[in-house]
Amino acid sequence: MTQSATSSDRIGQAPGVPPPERLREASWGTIRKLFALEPGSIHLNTGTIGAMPHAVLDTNDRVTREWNGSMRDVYPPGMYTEHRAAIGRSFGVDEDEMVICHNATEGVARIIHGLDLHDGDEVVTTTHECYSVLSNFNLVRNRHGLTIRTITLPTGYHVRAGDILELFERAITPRTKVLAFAAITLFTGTRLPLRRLCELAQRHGLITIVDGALLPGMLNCNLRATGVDFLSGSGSKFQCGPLGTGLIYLRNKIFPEYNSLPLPTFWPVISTWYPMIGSTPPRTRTGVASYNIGDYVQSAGSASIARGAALAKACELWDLIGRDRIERRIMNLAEYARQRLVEAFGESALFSPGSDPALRSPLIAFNPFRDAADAWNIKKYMAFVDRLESEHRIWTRWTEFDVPGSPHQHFAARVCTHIFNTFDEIDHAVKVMVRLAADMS
Amino acid sequence: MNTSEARTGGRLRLYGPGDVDHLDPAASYRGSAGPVITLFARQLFTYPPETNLSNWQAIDPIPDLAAGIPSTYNAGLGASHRCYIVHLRPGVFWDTTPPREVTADDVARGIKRLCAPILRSAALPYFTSTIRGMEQFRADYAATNPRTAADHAAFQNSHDIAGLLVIDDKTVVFELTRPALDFVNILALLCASPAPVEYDSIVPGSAEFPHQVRSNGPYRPVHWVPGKELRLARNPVWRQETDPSRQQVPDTIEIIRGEVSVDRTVHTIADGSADLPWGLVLAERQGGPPGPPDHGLGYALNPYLVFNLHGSRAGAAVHQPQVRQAISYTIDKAAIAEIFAGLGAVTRIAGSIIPPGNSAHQDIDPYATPGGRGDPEKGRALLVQAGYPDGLTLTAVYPETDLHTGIARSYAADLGKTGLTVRLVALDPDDYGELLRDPRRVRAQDWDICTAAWSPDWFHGNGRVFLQPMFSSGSSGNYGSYRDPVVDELISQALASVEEPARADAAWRQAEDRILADAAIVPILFQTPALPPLRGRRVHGAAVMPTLDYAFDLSSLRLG
Repeated sequence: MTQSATSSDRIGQAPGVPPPERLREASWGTIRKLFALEPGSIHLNTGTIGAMPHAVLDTNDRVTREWNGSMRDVYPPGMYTEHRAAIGRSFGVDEDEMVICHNATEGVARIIHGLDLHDGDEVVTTTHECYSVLSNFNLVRNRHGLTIRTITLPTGYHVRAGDILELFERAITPRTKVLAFAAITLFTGTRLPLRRLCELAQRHGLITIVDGALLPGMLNCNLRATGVDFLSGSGSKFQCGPLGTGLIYLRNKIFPEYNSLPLPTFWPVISTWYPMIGSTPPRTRTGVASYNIGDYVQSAGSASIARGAALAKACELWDLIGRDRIERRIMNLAEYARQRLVEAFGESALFSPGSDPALRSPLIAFNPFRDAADAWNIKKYMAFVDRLESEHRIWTRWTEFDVPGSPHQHFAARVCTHIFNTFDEIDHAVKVMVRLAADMS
Repeated sequence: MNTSEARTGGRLRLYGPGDVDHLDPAASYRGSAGPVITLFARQLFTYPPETNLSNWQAIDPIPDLAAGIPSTYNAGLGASHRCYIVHLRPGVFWDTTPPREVTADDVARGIKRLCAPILRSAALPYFTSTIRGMEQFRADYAATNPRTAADHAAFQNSHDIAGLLVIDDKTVVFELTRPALDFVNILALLCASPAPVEYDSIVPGSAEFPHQVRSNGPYRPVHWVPGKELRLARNPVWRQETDPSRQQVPDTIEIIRGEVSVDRTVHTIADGSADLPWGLVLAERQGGPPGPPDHGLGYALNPYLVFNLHGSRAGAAVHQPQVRQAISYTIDKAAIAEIFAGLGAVTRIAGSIIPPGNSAHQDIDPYATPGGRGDPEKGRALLVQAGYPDGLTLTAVYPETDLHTGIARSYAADLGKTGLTVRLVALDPDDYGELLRDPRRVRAQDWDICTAAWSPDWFHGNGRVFLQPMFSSGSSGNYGSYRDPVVDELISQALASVEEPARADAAWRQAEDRILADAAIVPILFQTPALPPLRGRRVHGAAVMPTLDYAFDLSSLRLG
C-alpha cells in the first residue's frame, strides 16, 4: 500500500453522519458534525487555522501508526503521487502541476527562490502580502539585486476591483518581471480579481505568483483557468487539513486559452531528484508536459506520509460535499456576517470590501470601536480579541495593515466564516462584539 | 588579589578631567558623563555588558525599559517597518516619593525634551529625520523661544509629536516617516531616555539638573559639588530582575574632577589613589605600541580639523576651497598619531570621513601625502593659487589640555611651513564644548579652525552615524556650519534607501566624496581605544561599553 487515505475513515461511522455518497445532499447541520469542534466555542478564525474533520484526524493517526517502525520503503509514498493527482483534479490541474508541501509559507518561498530573477528585475506586489511573501522577496533582493515595488491596496467597504487593477497596472514598468499578490489578503480579506490580474500580467508578459494560502477549501477554483503561473496554498486553513500541510501549483504546460505565455524558467530548489548531472528537459511549449516538474519539487527527502494522507482525506471530503456548494455556503455565511457587522458598526467600520461583490471574501476586517482613531490602537484590538476568546469563547484575530494616505499602521478585528459555522453563531458573536466594543469604547 | 576575591560593595573612585555637571540625558549627547548617566537614566533599549567585543551581541540592542525588541514576530513592527510598538517592562520605578512606575508619558516627555531649543543635540537629526512630525515639533518649539522651565513644560505638554503616540501607560507607538532599520539603536542613545514629570520644573540641560535627578537605574546622585565632585549611591527602588543590563555592585561611585595631565592621572591610578580615570580614554600600559584590535568594531574619526564656514563669514579665507585643500595637504597626520600613541590608542592615518569598520567606509584619501607626513610645498602652491602668496593668519581654538595643546601646536607648526600663521587660542574645555555647540559663537567669527572627534553611535548598519550629524545643514554636530544642498539631498537619498543597502551605501559614498572634494573638514586620524582600558589594581569584573567610548560599565565593577 503506498497511499493511505481511504474513504472509510469515520465518514458514515459516527452517529448522524451520512455515508460518503450522501454528503452531497447532507444538511449543513449534519456536515457540521464532521468537524472536531470544541464544544461551546465559536470558531471564526479559519483564516489562521481551520478545524479538522474527525476523518482527517483519524487518517492522520491511523497512517502514522501504520508506518511507525515499518520496514517498507518510505520514499515512494512520500511522493504523494495519487494524492497529488486527486487533489489536482479538485483544482482542475494535473498531478505534475501539484505538490504537497508543509505550508503556504514554504510553498511561496520555494516558488520565489525558484524563479530566474536577476539584478535589475522588478517585482510588483502589495504591502498587504503575508510577511512570508515580502520577506522572501527581500531575501532575493538582497541576494540578486531585485527591485521590489509595493502598492498599498485600498481598504474600505466601497473599494472596487477596477481601483485595484489600476494600481497594479500603474506600478508595472518595462523592468517588471513578476506580479505577486494574494488571492485573498489575510489582513483585510480582500479577494483580489485573480483572473483579471493574471490577464493584466499576461498582457505585460509577466510571471504571476499568487499567495493562495486562504484559497484551498474556500473557493471552487480551476487553477488552470485562472492563468496563474504559480500558487501556494495552505492545507490547514479553509481546507481543514492537518497543520504542516500546504499545496503548490506550478503551471507545467501551455493552454493558450488561459495563458499563452511561455512557461517561466524555474529552478526547483530543495529537490532530491533534480539531476545530479545535467539538467531537466526544456519546458514544453504545448499542452503536453515535457517533464513532471511537480516530482522535482515534491521530492525533498522523507515526507510525512500521514499528513499527506490526511490532507488528501480533507480534500476528498470537500469533493464529496461539493466544492461549489462549500463556496456558496461560506459566502452566504460571510454575507450574513458582513450585513450584521454593517448594521452593528456601520459601513465605515469595515476595512473589507462590501459593495463590489467580486472583492468579497469570508474574511471581514473591521473597527468595532466608536472612535475611528482606535484603528491604530493595537492594545484595544489585542484586548478585544483576547476578551472575546477568554470571556466568550469566540475565536477571532486582529490584523494590521497600511492604509493609503494614512501615516498610521491600522489594526482591525477579523472574523472568518466557514461551513461549520452557523447563522446563529454569527448572530451571537456580533451581539457579543457590540457589547464588548461599547464597553471598551 | 585575584578576581574571585573581589566583592560586592565598596567605594569606586574615579579621577580626571571628565564632566560632573552635565547630567541631563537630553543634553548629554557626546558628553563625557555618559557612563554615569546610564546608571540613573535607563533607555527603552540598551546594550548588554559584554567583556568579549568580538561577540556580536555586544553591539546588538537588548530591551531595557522596553519589554522586548519590536519585530514582526511579536507584532511590534508592521510590515511597512514604519510603525514601532513598544511595550514597557513592568516593575521599573523612579526613585520618587512614593516610587512611581515609569510610564509611556515619561517616554514621550524624554523625546520631547530632546527638542528643547536650548540643547541643540547633535543627535537630533537622527530623530527628526525619522519620527513622523518631530521636525515640525522641533521647529514649533524653537519658535516659541522658551525661557523658563514653565515655558518649556507648557509647550511640551500642549503639543504632541504626530508620530509619537502614547497608547496607554505601558505602550508607546513610534510612527516613522520611512523605514529605519537603526531605529532601535537610535532609541538606545542616552539622550532618548524617558523623563519623569518632575523634570517639567527644570529648564532642560540647566545647571540645577544634578540636584533634581530622578533615577530609574541602579544608582542615583547623592552629592554634587559643581565642577568638582559627584557621588552616586545605590538606588533602593531599583530591582535587578527588571534590568537586564546593569548591576549594583559598588556601594558608591565617587568622581573627583581635576584638570590633570595624562601622566598625573595614570600615576594617581597606579598609586591606588583612584580606581579609574574619568574623562580620559586610556589604555593599560603594555610596554609597546598597541596592536590592531581583536574586534571588528568601527573606528572613530579622531581628530579632524573643522573649518568655520558659517555663511556670515563669507569673506573669511577658509571659505575658499583652495585654502582648505592647502591645509588638507599640509598637515602632518603622522606626527599627531605619535601624540595619541602616548595614550595607547590604535590609530591609522585618515583620508576619508567614515572610518573603517563602519557602513559605507571607503578606502580613499584625496589629499594623501607620503606616510601621512604632509606636503607643505603643495599646500603653499595652493595658497598662492587662492590669492595668498604672502600667507595669511588664521585663528585656531582648542581645549586647554595636554593632548589638545599638543595637537594644536603640531598642526600650527605644519601650517607655518606654508606661510600660514595660526593664532592659537586656548579655551577652558567646558567653554570649548559650548563653543562648538553654539551657533552664535560660530557666527561671531571667534575662530577659523578647531579640532573635533566623532565616534560611531552604534556599530552595525550605521551608515548615517557620521555624515548625517556632521554635515547636514543646520545640525549642531555640523560644527563648522557646512552647508551643501547636494549633500543634504544625498543624505536624504541614503536614508530613503534602507530597503536597498547598496543604493544607500552608494549615496553615502557620493556624499562623502563631495564633502572631501570640498575639503569641508580635514580627516586626521582614525582611532579606536586599545583595550583593556586603564584601571586600578582593585578593579575586577570589567565589561566595557563600546557605544560610550569604551568606558567601563561602572555598575558591574568589583573591588578587590
